[in-house]
Order: sequence, then C-alpha cells, then structure tokens
Amino acid sequence: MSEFLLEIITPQKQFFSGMAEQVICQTENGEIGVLKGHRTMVASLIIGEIKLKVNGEWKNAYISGGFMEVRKDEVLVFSNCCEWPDEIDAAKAEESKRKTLELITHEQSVKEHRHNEIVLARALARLKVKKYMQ
Amino acid sequence: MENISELKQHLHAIEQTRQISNAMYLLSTSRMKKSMQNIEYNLSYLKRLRSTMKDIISKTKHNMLTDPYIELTENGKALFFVITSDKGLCGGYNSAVVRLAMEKMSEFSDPVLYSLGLKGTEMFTSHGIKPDGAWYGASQLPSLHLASDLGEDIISRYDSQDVSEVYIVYTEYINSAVQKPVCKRVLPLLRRDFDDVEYENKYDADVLYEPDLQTVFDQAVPQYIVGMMYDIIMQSAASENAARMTAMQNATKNADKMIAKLSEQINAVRQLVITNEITEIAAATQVQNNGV
Repeated sequence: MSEFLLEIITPQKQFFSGMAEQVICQTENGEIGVLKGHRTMVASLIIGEIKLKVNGEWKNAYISGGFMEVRKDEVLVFSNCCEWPDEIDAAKAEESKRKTLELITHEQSVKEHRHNEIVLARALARLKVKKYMQ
Repeated sequence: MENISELKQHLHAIEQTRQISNAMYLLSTSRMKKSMQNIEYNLSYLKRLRSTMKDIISKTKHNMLTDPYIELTENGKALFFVITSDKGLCGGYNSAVVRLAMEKMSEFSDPVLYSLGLKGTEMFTSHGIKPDGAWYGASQLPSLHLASDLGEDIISRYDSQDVSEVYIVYTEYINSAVQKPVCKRVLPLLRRDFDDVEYENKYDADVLYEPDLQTVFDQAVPQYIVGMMYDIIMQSAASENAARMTAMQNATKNADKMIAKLSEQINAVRQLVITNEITEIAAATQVQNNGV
C-alpha cells in the first residue's frame, strides 16, 4: 500500500510526524478514511478518536477536535490536544465523567449545558480510546 | 567616626540581599529558556495554521459568506485583555504594559477590561479603573489549558455580541534584552491580517469542505484563537522572566559595588582605630618616661 506524509500538530508539540498508509478521523457526519491520493479536502473534526495505520499496524489516539487538511500526498491535522492511549489518565477521565454526569442533572443555563456536554464528550472519548487498547 | 560593628552589619545585610538577587537571576534565566522552547515550536504551528486560515478566508470572499469573525462592526464595546505578572521585581515590565493599555483604552468609550496578573489588577485599581474580570496564576504556570479557557471565554463573549472587538495588551518577547509592550487585535480577524502569510502550498482550485465551508471556518477560528492565546501567554511569561533577569542582574551588580565600597570603609575605619590606639599608647609611654 502506498504511503503519504501524516503530521498531527498541537500548539505544544508535534504529536505525530511520519509516513502513514491510512488515517481515519471522526467528523460530524461520521468517520472519514483518507488514503494516498485523496482529493484535497479540509474537514472539521469532533472530539473523539483518530486512527492511523503505520507500517501495517493500526494505532489509535484521543483527539480534542480540530481540523484536517488533506493535500495530494500530505495530511495535516491541527488539534489542541492529542494523547496516545498510554498517556491517558483513565482514573481522571472516569472522575470527570462521574462529576459531569452529576452536574448535568442540575444545570441552569444553555451555556452551562454546552460546557458540560463538551467535558463529558472528552471524558468518554478518552475512556473509549483507552479501552480499545486493552 | 563611624561605628565599625554597624558597618559590618550593613555589609552582612547587603551580602544576603545579593545572594537572593543572584538566585532569582539564575532562576529567571532557566525559566525564560524553558518558555523559549515552547514559543519556538508554537510559532511554527501558528505559521502553518495561518496559512490554512488564509486559504479558507480567501474562499469565504468568493462564496460571499458573511461571517461575524471577519467583519468589523463599529457599534459595540471593545474588550481589552491585559497581561501582567503576579509578582514584582521585574523592572518596568508591568508598568509599560499598563501604560500602553490605558493609552489604547482611552480611544474607546466604555471599554471592558480583563486583567490577567495580580500586578496589573493592582495598578489599574490604583488608577481608579476596576477590571471587569481578573485572573492570576498565569505568569507562574502558562499552560495550554489556561490558553484554551481564555480563548473559549473570549469567543463566547464575542459570540453573544457582548463585545465587538477584542484586543490583547501583552509584552512581546524580541530577545533577552528587548521586550516590547504591544496591543494586538484578536477578533474580529481581518483579511489584511493574513496579507503577510506566505502560502506554503497552494491548493487546487477545487477543495472539498467537510461538512461545509462555514462549519470548517467556525471550527478553525477558535483553534486559531487558542493557538494565539497560547503564544501570547508564553511570550508574556518569557518577557517577564527576561525583565526580571535584567533587573536582578543589575541588582546583583549594584550589591557588588556597595559591598566593595563598604569593605573599603570598614578597612579605613579599622585602620583609623588602630592608628588612634598606637598614638594613644605612644603618648602614654612618653608621658610615663618623662615622669621618671
């Protein structure tokens, strides 16, 4: 399978840079898989999981949303936060999930609801990515 | 004649102060170097993000999209976000930022003021301006987490049309000797802000936006703002430490000068005491001899 250059960058670090065979991201409308030679595209990503196939092996990671820029033989992913499964603190995510579920029952404004939703989505996505590995 | 033990006490105190200022100098040097690394990486990140943004923005023009993030509306309040330090002993770092902020704020009627940093809050309060929001803790630990909190706060205020312009006043880090207070417009983004961006890769004419251009743009703006906020708080932290480094270097030098001067004084006084004693002894001996 032919490869393309994949770069995942955050303001703090270069999360991944190297040749990949395929990358799968989550968008509002579902998952998008990108292979070499995909048409140029800019896609906005939701909080969730990013899967990449490197040297025939699938890796997955948590991603806090962002967007993906697909060029002829290069894919660039911008995100604020990315974590490999072994970087995820499952206990912390579990705690955040529990707390937010509690907060959601007595929230008072739309703004609060939106905030809680995001926090919950992050916690759930982290837990999902962590479980996937085990 | 000066008291020798008093002089010695004074010398001892200065030596202790010198130790402290020297330790702070070393500490701020290492902190500055640490933030420097982050700044460098983040700048390359921002550069690439800007190049993508420019492409999207140029597309919005063709599609005649009107977007609140790129339109300058005249009839709204301006939000000023002023970044200072929590601690003092950093030369003119804080007062320069506050001065610039007050100057810029006087151009607007009824601006909203957010102050990040204890020193800035204190200075504004002493000038009779009460900040509408105040935070602290950023200069000690500038983190991405904080940057995204601040970025989201700015965007939500902008979205709710509370404010129509957002400016950030902070200190730009140029090098370890030069830091410059600047006032930067964060929102709305104007097309001309991206004039200086070089295209890294020109797109083909036909780009697919998923799910659509508007959604992509609305996602890209917060991403860009958070990246920019991170850059701004990192630059401020680096500038603060650089300013403190210079201030402490000067303090250490001054202490060295005072120590040299005081030691000289102590020696002179001691010499004088000894001379006096010898004179007294000699005189006494002479009197005794004459008496015999």
